[in-house]
Amino acid sequence: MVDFSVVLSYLINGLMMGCMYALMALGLALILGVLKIVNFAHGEFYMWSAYISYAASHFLGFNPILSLITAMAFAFLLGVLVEKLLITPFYTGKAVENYDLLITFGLGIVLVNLAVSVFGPYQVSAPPLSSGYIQMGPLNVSSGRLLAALLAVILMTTLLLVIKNTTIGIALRATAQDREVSSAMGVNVNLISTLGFGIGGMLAGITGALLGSIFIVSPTMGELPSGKSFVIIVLGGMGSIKGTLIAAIMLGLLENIGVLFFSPSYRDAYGFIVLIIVLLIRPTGLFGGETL
Amino acid sequence: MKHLHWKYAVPALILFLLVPLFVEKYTLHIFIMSLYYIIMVTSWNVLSGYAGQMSFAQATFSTFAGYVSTLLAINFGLTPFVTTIIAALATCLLGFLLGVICMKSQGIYHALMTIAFAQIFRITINIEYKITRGSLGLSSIPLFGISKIPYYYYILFLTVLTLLILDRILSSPIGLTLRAIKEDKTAATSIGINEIKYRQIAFLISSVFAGLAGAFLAHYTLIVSPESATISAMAIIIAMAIIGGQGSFFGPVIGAIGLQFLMEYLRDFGRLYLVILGIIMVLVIRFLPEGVVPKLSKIVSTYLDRKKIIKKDLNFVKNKA
Amino acid sequence: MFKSERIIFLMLMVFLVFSASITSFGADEIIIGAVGPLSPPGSVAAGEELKTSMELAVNEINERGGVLGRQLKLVFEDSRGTPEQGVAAVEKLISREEAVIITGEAHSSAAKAEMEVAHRYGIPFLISECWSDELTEIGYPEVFRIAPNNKSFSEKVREFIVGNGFKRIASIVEDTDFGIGNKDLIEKEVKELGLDYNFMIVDRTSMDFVPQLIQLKAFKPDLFVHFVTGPGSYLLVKQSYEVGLSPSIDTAMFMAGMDATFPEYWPTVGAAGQFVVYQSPYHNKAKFTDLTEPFVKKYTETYNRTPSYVALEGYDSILIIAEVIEKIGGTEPDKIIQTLEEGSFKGTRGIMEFPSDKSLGVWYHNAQSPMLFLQYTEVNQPVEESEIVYPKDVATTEMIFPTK
Repeated sequence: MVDFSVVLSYLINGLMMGCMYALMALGLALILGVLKIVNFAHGEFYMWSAYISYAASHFLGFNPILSLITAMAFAFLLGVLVEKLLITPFYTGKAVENYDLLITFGLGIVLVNLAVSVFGPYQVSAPPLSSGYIQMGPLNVSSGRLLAALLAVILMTTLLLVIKNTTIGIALRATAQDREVSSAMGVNVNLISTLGFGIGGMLAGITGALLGSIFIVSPTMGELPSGKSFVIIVLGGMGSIKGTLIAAIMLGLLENIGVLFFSPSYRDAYGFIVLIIVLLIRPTGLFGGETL
Repeated sequence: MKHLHWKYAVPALILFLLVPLFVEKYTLHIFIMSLYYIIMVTSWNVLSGYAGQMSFAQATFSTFAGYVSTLLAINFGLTPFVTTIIAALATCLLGFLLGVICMKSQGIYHALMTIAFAQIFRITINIEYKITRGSLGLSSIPLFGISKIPYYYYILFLTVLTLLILDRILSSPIGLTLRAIKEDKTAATSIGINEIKYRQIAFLISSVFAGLAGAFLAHYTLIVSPESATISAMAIIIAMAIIGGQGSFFGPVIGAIGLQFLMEYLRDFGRLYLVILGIIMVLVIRFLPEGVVPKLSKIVSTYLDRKKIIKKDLNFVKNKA
Repeated sequence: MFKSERIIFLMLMVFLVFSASITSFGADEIIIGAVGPLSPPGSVAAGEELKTSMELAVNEINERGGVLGRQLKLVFEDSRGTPEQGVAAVEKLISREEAVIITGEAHSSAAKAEMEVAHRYGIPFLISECWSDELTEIGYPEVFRIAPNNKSFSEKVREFIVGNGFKRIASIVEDTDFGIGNKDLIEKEVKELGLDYNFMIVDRTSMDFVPQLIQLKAFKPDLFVHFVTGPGSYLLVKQSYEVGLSPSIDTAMFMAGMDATFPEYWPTVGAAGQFVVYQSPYHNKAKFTDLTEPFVKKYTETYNRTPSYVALEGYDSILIIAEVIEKIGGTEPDKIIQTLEEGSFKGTRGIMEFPSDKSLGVWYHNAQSPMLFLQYTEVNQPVEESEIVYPKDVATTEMIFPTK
């Protein structure tokens, strides 16, 4: 006796959330693909950008789009900075086991608590791109969410086109496939790596600014989305863009439909449960093995 | 290659035994927490350091043990000493389960599996509040009376036990095999080492001690809650191990005590203390990836060697003269 | 290599033992220990209000010469609203700071664990803003409470439901004692009335409640009452509105958590916040004692923020403590307990008395609190201007429903 409009609401909400998850997960996938690094501070890029977006509109009076752009620029610069300062030892190949994991993990801790010190532990809310809701027949869809999801789709499409068609995009893919050979062929792999991290962080940042205006900005807001991003890229198969996108949509849908068919309280656990199940069957994820 | 030289372990032990005579109540509490963390960190190190399998589930193990021990004590009226042992064994089983789940996973996948495992556990505890009282936490039964001193000696006993057993295991062929697998898996498997079996062993060892420590903590702080199974709780353990020095045996020990006390001093700075902790961790990994203790060790031993060499040279010159 | 490790180890130990033994001895101050959520996952606004109002009270008293000629010192530890941190905080306050009494706290889950520590040490614990029935029901002699309790609240909610003729009630509750405790009580009341009830339990730290809200919408309730604290409560209101559940022409909303009264409400909730009914034991249209207005004025001037009822509770807590210590001329725990039981204390919210009869169950050591249900009738309406919709004898208007 499930209401059709209820299921439709779930599908739409799932799709919207999935699009935004995809944007963030893509950033993680990019960093992983090009630099072969696991970025445990991804959630903190997301969170800090949300704060910057909030600060831009609250203190500087920027309109939502301008705040978003500010947040994008910030996240990109932060990514570049982090890569130059912390990641470069990784390339020498002499780094400690799990260097990337550990150092980004530590960085994450610093960033979270720095945010608490700088912005205070209160949550804040950034002004939404749009408020209220749109009525589509029996359904109500939050207009802010819809707009954010559309923006996410536009940005992702742009990024994918860039990766496929521009020189930089090709350089990114080449470095992802084989760093040494690309270097030998004349690609400035260090520059590409820095760019890759910058762009990856930027994607997390955009997602943060978008979602911060829908939900709430708080120092620990990045933890769960970061976890979900990891679930997505692993599910989709690390390094596969197609896989990431599909897995993101799947997760968005699962979290909503799961509430309908299983317990609503376990919502945040579904992603993790599915992850374990999938990895048990296919240890490299659904589409694992492909590169960027 | 034994790690515990009696010449130095015994004076250290004596010092520890005398601690309650010198310090006041609250400081004793910090010592107790330090000892708890020593067990947590060294057992974590077995899996993540020696065996090279990055795990984020250590805090989950200890919290699980806390719940098992508490629930058994409350519902069946068993004494906490007995429930501690049962909890440790149950945690061992949980560790085995996690090991099985992670069996085919490597590197980042392995880490993620442990994270997923930890998150599912935490969420389950929260949701099944009828049994666990969810985020309210479960009030536990104390091991002793009001005074902290019996707790201190009890955890000291557990810690010494843990270190002794771990030392035996890690200096034995098992420890060497684990190291070999970590260094070069392909080479190890090519000479016939059953990598999976040894990984499971690492999981078992790592989890059983975490279980002991976790049960202790529950009956000491008298509260067990899902908060002890969060990423932040895990972060402290990892920070202690990394800053102390992942590869060595005593590195994590010193990391645990050092950081616990450091955190207490830093607590007066309010929220900044975690920032400082994080920065230290990042700096250490960046510039001293082996850890603080091995680095200091090198400095001290170079100094000692230099003294020896200078002494030898002096003697040589003297004898020549 | 290992020899040097050992040396380092010994050096560290010696250093630690000696440096840690150094304790600072303060002047002849009376230490009041306080706990509260100053960082997530606790409700930071509540913790800050408790802290600032207590500091205000302590400063006022100290300026007047302190208590028994000694200055009061407030040590406020962050419990984060979690049992674990709360335990550590109280442990520190009692062992290290040697507080003579513990007060504060805004989350029942933390308070439950904290009171165990206080009970063990025999130190009194005056709870400022935790509603769980259990806290006083258990009957520890050390525990006192000036906040309302869940039972009294659910009784009033029942009257409210009956008074307004609601028939189908839906709830979302957080997975804490506040949420689940209230849900159990309301469920009982509603079943007794023979009405329909549907509820869902959520993780308080969640951000997206839309899936649950969509399901509840299908239930077609006429009253949606939720028990969530922290920033999640604002998201719940916003998303409930966007999904078309409530506040709407068909479904009224009752926001039971304390966050409705904080200034953070409107910026986060926006247009969704209109027509929401909420509770507050304080409203400026109902002046309780001659202490109320001066406090509100002073607090607003000092902190640039209108105090909610949580701040009043914090202020009252300190007033009571100071009065008790003055009365007994000392700080012995048993005397404090005795005096609290026998006395009658004036605060900003009325006269408070702590019954010593254990057969009263939840009302043991629990002072009565006024309780008002208010409604925001306009967007961005300050609390002071909102209307009182319950109890009927002080109500300024009937409940208002949206017309769309």
